[in-house]
Amino acid sequence: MSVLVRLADSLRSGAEPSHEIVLAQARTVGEAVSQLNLPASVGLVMLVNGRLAHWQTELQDGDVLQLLPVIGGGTFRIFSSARQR
Amino acid sequence: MMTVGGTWGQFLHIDLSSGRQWLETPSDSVYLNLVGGRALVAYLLLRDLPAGADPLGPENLLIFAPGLLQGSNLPGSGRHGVGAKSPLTGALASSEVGGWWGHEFKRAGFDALIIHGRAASPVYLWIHDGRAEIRPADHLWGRDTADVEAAIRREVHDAQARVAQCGVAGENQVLFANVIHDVNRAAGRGGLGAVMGSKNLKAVAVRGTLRLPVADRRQITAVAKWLGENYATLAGWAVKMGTVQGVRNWGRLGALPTHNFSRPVFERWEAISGQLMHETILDGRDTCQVCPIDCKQVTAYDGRPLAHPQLQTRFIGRLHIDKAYGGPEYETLASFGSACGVDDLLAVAKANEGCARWGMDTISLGMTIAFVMECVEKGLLTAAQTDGFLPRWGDAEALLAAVEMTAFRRGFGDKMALGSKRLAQWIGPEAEALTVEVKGQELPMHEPRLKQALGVGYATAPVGADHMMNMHDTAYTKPGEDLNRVAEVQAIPPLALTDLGEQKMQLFYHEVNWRHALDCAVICHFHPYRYSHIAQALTGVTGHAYGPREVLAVGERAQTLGRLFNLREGFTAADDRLPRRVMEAFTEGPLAGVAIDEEAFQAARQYWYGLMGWTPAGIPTRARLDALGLTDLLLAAGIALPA
Repeated sequence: MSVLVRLADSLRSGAEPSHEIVLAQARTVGEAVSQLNLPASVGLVMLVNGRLAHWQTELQDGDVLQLLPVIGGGTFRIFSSARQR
Repeated sequence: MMTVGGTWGQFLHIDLSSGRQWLETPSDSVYLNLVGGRALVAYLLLRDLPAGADPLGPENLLIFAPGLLQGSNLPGSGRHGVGAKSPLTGALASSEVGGWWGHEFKRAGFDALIIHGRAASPVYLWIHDGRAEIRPADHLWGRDTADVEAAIRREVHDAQARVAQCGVAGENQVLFANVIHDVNRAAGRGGLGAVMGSKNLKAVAVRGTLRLPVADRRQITAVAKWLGENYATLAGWAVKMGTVQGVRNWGRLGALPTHNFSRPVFERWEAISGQLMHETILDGRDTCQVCPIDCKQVTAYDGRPLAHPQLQTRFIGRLHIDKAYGGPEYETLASFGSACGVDDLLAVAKANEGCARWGMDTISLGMTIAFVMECVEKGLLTAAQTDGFLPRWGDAEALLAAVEMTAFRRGFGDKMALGSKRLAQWIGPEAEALTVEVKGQELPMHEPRLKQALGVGYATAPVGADHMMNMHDTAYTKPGEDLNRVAEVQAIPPLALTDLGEQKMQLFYHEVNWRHALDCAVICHFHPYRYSHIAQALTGVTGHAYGPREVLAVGERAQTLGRLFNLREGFTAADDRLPRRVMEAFTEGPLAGVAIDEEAFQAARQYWYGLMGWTPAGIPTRARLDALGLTDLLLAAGIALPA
């Protein structure tokens, strides 16, 4: 299976420079987001195929996962274990 | 040495009617249980304000309440609380403000200032190193806030005196007038400036150089060191751009309050965005006492030619924006911008300047103007009713006119000064259906249809709709620092924005108590502390042990006392509701169809009442008052317990 992840501009960084990333292994939104190097200190709104999703939302082959940063108390730090090695 | 470190052991009372001053010696229990800020405000109102008092009468109290952490130099402690009975809502008014005033006041030797009565003619207070003087202020009445600050500093011969003041709007008792500090920061919501104006109190100037004794300075230093090492990462959003990036985030997602919340989509969001502001009129960033984050926006415009592909303005060369008055934050960009359909950044920034110059809450004013625009669109207002003032969506000229008319209560501004709820009552039932407020306080610029626990917070906050004493669901959609903080008392997994289930409300219970605790300490919400950091800081300051749960209990006491005050003033669970408009689904944009489920919302509210130890009617139980240590505190103060 593969899932296309679209990152809003402000989520891109040196560690994650692309607008679009294809992930081969991600059964849920949470599994997908955990594979990315996203900047700390933003909250996150997640859309799957344009519809509001959440951490546990299951992904299907061909899904498009869109990630948008928000503020308002949100801070987080997610690092890809695979890419950090 | 006081038995509670970080305190002077005295509250300063001043009765402006008689000119009498007296000192109160609070018990250790008052300090340790209430800490300061909102909990102290609600306690003093329950104790000293007669039930049913007129908020604009001499009986009302105006309370300046720092917390135990003011004066400690802990980063984020450059804030204090201001409170009274609200003339806008009739409920609790409790607002926090940054700057330097709280620090200077605390170091002047007092732990709180309680102002009673009404002066016969305008006065200001000069409080410095253990002394308080009442001085005439007739010559300051009617002047802009920057002029007043400069004049007072000259008169007291101290360029570092810090000034809290009601602007012209407060003098004129605009019901959402605020208390302006340092000219560009506001104890913004609930009409505290109108209370100040009603007392003929123009300003409170403070200066303190006394050294505040704390129990164990090393604990403060340890927490400050942690903050220093982590703020750039954990509060990076506030460091980099600050709140104004919210316009782009919500604009792009289709959750930017537009046209009085009748739409979630503002197609022209790029014309009022933080990015555009930073690329055109940003003059710098500002900060508060002992804060490394520098979140505040400062804007300036001198009439020069200005061009940018996104800028849509009719005011090039036609107005100036004075940087002394700061700059708009997210709430203001949206309330004067998208909520009114205005896509003119210069107009929005100028409206913001007017609010600092004359002392008005930008959220309530923006939403009152938006409400008027909708009434005009729907034909509910006639030229005869409004002295010919009939603003349409997007009318930037009318926006600027409305700000000035309201501050000075000229023409229809006299009616807009009442806020949207009372104005709607004057217009009629069709208009009342268009108001977007809770308990009379207009909604801030965060969509409760997207952040649904925040919606429960809007409905239940003791001051009416408020986004600060609240939780923002977007922070808890993934693992990270916010859920790590909550895990100090309860492990909770990431939850959906629209989730209103029991786990979400448990999260809400902890985090809203936390926000209230910060407003008692008083600590800035943008500092990414954990519960245990504030516990350590309070332990270090006071010499009495606090843990994470004791910190959250402080916030729960603030909410409970606020609840008791509102119940006494006639509010009931029926007032814990959301406006009709936001109970309808989004009809357009990426979030079309997203809605609050009415049944789930009611169940969430009732479940949270239970978590708070309140009855299904929202009344605090004796058992919970006992558990919070409030029963003895209330009885000792002669405050009746709920039946």
